[in-house]
Amino acid sequence: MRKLAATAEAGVVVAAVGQAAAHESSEKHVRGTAAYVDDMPVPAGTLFVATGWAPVAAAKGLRLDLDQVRQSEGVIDVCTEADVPGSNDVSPVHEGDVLFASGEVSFHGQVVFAVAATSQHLAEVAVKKAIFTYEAQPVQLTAAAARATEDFVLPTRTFQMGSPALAMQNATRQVQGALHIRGQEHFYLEGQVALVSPTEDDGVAVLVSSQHPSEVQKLVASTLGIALNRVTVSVRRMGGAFGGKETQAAPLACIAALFARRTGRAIKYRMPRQQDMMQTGKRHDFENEYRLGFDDQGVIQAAELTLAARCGYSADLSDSIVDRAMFHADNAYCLQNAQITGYRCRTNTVSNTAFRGFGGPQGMLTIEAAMDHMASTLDIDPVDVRLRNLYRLGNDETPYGQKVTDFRLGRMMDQLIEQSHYRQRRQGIAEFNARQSYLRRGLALTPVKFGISFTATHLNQAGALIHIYSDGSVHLNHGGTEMGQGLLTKVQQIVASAFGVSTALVQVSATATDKVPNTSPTAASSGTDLNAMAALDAANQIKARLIAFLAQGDVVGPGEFSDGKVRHGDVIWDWADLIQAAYLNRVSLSATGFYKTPDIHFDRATGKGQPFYYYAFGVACSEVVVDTTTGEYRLSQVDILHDVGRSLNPALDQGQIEGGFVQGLGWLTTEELLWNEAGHLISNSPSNYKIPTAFDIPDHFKVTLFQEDNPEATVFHSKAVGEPPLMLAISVWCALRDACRRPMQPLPDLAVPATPEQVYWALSGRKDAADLGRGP
Amino acid sequence: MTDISNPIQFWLNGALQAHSGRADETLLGYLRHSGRVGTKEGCASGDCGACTVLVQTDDEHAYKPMNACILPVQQLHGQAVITVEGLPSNDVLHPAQAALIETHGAQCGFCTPGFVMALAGWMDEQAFSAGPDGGGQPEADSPQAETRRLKACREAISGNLCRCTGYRPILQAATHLASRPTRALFETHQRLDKALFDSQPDHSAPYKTGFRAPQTLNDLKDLLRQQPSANLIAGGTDLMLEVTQKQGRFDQLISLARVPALQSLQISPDSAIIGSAVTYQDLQAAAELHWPALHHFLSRLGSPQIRNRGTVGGNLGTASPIGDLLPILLAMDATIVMSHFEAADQNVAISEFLQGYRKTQLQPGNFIKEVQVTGLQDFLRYYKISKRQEDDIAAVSVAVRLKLDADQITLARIAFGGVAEQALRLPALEQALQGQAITEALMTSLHQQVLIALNPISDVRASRDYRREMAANLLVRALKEALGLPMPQIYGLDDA
Ligand code: FES
Ligand code: FES
Repeated sequence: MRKLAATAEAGVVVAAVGQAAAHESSEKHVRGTAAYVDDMPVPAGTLFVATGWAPVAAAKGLRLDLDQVRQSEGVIDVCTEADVPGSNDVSPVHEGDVLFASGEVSFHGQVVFAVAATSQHLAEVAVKKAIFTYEAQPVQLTAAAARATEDFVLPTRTFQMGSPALAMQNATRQVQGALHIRGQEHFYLEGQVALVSPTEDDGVAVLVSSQHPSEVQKLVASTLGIALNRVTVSVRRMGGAFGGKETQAAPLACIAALFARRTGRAIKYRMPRQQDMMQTGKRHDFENEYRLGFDDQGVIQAAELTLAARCGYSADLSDSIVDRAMFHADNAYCLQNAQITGYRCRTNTVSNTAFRGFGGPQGMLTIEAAMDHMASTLDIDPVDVRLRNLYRLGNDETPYGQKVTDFRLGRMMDQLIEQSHYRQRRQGIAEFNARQSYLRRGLALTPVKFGISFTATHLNQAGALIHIYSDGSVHLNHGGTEMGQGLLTKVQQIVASAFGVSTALVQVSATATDKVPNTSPTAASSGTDLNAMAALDAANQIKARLIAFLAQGDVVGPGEFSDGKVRHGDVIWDWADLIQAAYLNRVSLSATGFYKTPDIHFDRATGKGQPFYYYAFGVACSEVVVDTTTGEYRLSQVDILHDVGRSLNPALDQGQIEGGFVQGLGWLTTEELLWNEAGHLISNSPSNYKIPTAFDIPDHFKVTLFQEDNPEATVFHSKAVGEPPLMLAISVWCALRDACRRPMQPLPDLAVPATPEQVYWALSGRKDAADLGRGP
Repeated sequence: MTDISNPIQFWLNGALQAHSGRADETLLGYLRHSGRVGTKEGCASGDCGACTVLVQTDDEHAYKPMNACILPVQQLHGQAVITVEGLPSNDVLHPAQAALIETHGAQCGFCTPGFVMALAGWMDEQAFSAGPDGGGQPEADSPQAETRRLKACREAISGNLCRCTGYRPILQAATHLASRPTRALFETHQRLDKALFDSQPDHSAPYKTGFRAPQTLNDLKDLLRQQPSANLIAGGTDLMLEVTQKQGRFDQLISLARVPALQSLQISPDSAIIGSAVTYQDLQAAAELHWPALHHFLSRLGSPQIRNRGTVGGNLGTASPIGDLLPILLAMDATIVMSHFEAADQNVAISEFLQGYRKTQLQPGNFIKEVQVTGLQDFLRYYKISKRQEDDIAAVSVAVRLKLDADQITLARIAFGGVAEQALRLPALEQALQGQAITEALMTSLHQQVLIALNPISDVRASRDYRREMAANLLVRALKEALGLPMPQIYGLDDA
């Protein structure tokens, strides 16, 4: 029998739960040996895909002349909707997201046909030879336009708490305003890609960069009209995803699978960056309105919030996204009496999709803008207005009926006010602004409360698979996918800790539909919460079997797994010896684990329930300096205090917080998604769509973890950390707006994103200019 | 095979490669098709840095980071390339690799090979200029020195995008590396082979010589005579976008990069001669002493990777309305020396050279030899406004040059970029300034006149109104600075 070569290794627990272990792939990352789908060697004869797309945003009677495309050099096959043997619908939940448009087109860039050719270049040359004829239709590009015609992709929903109309009337003061929040391109560094090979059972094997392998499997099967068991999908890692590969990766796999079936050859479909930007969905733009009723102390009595999302041409995930915007339109504040309405507007633009925060940021930004507005009318420091309205005992009911029970946010705000010297700096800034004429400074401290769980309850489940081989080495698999967030590392740490062995002994592996079936997307920040629990369940089953084996029919006492040893009663075994003995004694060393989140439910008809298992919190304080002659600005200081419960891995958690913050920073400052009047995306490449660089983060960028156990029974009482930090960047936008306020003047409106141009208009009080020449 | 070029030879991670391919084949394509997939493609347009590799282009310089996605592999003849796979020596990680692991500087890891190479190139630059004995003393500790160090670290990675980490850990890695001495890469890796570099690839049959890199002016002229329709290429940072973004093809390319006569670079206290094949990087370094305004401006042009390849001639030749240097050259009354394969050299004023949207006086057979500039001691201000501070294209740029006699303006040049189809001057305004003293009233009236004179368009980078107001505001700023009024900067060291 093979014995584990490095038995001694098993004894060193290098990365237990709670330690700042390096990412499991870190050495491969820096060596360039971590393989992404585009790096996989392709089988001989592989063909390459390019798509032909709609040249207009809205048209009927579309006809295609593809003769020249077919005759183009290197072209082996061409497909349209008519060539799909199964279903042309690739919607995740509702209907209407199509693989190929036919007859009519609904946005500029929509895929109409695809080509498989012997090289990427030849495929791209070929698609340009198509001749389109169509009748152009008027385009509808904004949420406002869709609301005017009541053209929605899904029904409007409302949450209601108390008697908002009456309370609004009775409130001594009111403010109201509107906010147009632009969307955001994911700009994952690795573009969308799939590589599909035909299998001998008339099925396909799919390698794809996707957060949701099970859905890719389902949609590939339905496109081809075959059973799920003939499609396997695996994902080792993604080069970033951020929600952009939750539903958007599937169509690539479906098109590639279609060609694989038709040609019997392997097919690669890798989207060039510009097409990726044009053809895949983005963060939703919102046109929101708020009205707050409050007293002289700035305590909210009533809130009316209207959230209108530009969903694009179809539903995709917009239902849950607008729900989540509504769930976060209170952010951390008890609204007392509230009405929150969410519209899902149809437009002739690409169907918007999941993006880190999933609607939450747009809801939260609206109430934060309103808080500043309210504070400015009272001349109270905005941070005090925020503190006064926080959820606390007795003031704990959200507009959707869930009670907040974890009140750590107040303490966190106090701690950060202290730590960042907020009050002294506020004073210093007032003096600076009084002295300076060219430069102005601004400061803001804003909280985040973010609900954790999928709001579609059935998704809150996960599976895992653990094998222990006869040499003691462990193979770990679960339904969660790795996109850089360190999920595989955290679960590896947890499983290694559970067995009391080194992480070096626990091999993580590609997420694969033939290992763990029917998985949920790795999304909603829930990857670790769900999959680590499932893995722990599997580990515990095997541990129980090992202990039972050690007890040999006697009373089964508790065993201890640590330092590469297993202790039971007086007996101490080396891990590898025990595994070998267990194998020889015919103990099963493989287990599947399962987990579902307890205690959550939501009734969409009444808009009431308990959609979240718990909340994660954070606070950020940002300071900016603005040049009043140009609107250029610099983020000069950032302090963050973020709640991760008990951290499973402080280094990875800090990475999520910093990365999330900077992504939010981009959304609110330099990343300006623009369309022209015809509905063509004009910010369609990295040369005109600008994500932050290293120059955009301040010298002083300090993140502190607020480590206090999650009161809920999550894995080691940790908290999810993927999405919440993105919204910490709202502090930057609020600080910019603060800097734009002139003494004795009302707080100006500031566009989102606050580009230097928009800051300039806010400073000059030229409301009309903000939308000058800007597309829809 | 008509579209296959002559075989070139170059060093790749220490092994000599012979390669023949298309004239317009990119290094990234070459690497990835030959199974070296550590170098990633994030954009194929020189914007993200994921494809960064190191190239030693001549033996007088360190290995420099460049974007493999827009680098024609044919340009590498005789040069030495290191990719992420070849960076460890004897399988020991390079310090840049180790530092990124230590600081948790990789999340999804897709950008990481690019950052590794950018950092390694940055270190090599320092090691190379320090020499084998490690160079001078490190700068003493002070808050200003600290800010400068951090700025240099940011600069080093400003051509690399990361969507996951927020850069903080990568900057931390850079700061670690800044304080540790390393050996120059040519000592541990391959050194450029001078004999091979100077050799010409085999141009005989059966190959069609689609890519030619002449080494003398005469050879260049001969080639132009033989192939008048060939495209000229210098750094290729603009031209190669045709290939990677638009499926364009170039069967015949003539490189200007190796002609010494196009490489002159002399900057004296009052004047400058800049060869058309001089890179922004070299220009930036040379300008530090006598032309500081340009030196600072160039740090915001493109990225380090782009500055290592992009040339002054390229910026002029394409005459793009957003070419960053054009307003500056206009304000400096630059003279363009145009050569032709049979006619004598011709000196053309920049204002005549530029003829419209991407149009110049260049005719087939012409090439730019050099640019001559005077007036470096005048009062100079170059400004650029963009959405993002680094590596972004200007929404508006303004170049101002004034000769002052006491407080009187004796000569004024005012040029703008981003406000029309081409970079332009406003001669009427310049006239109006002549002989004037700078007063509040003058500034107000100039501001007004700029608003009236300019009629830009709204596009993805800025609105028409913003462009106009910026043009006017920045002109006024220049005049205020000329008066010596304090104009604090958001990036100033002292206001922090
Ligand atoms: S791939 Fe983005 S710069 Fe080369
Ligand atoms: S680590 Fe993912 S893009 Fe940098």
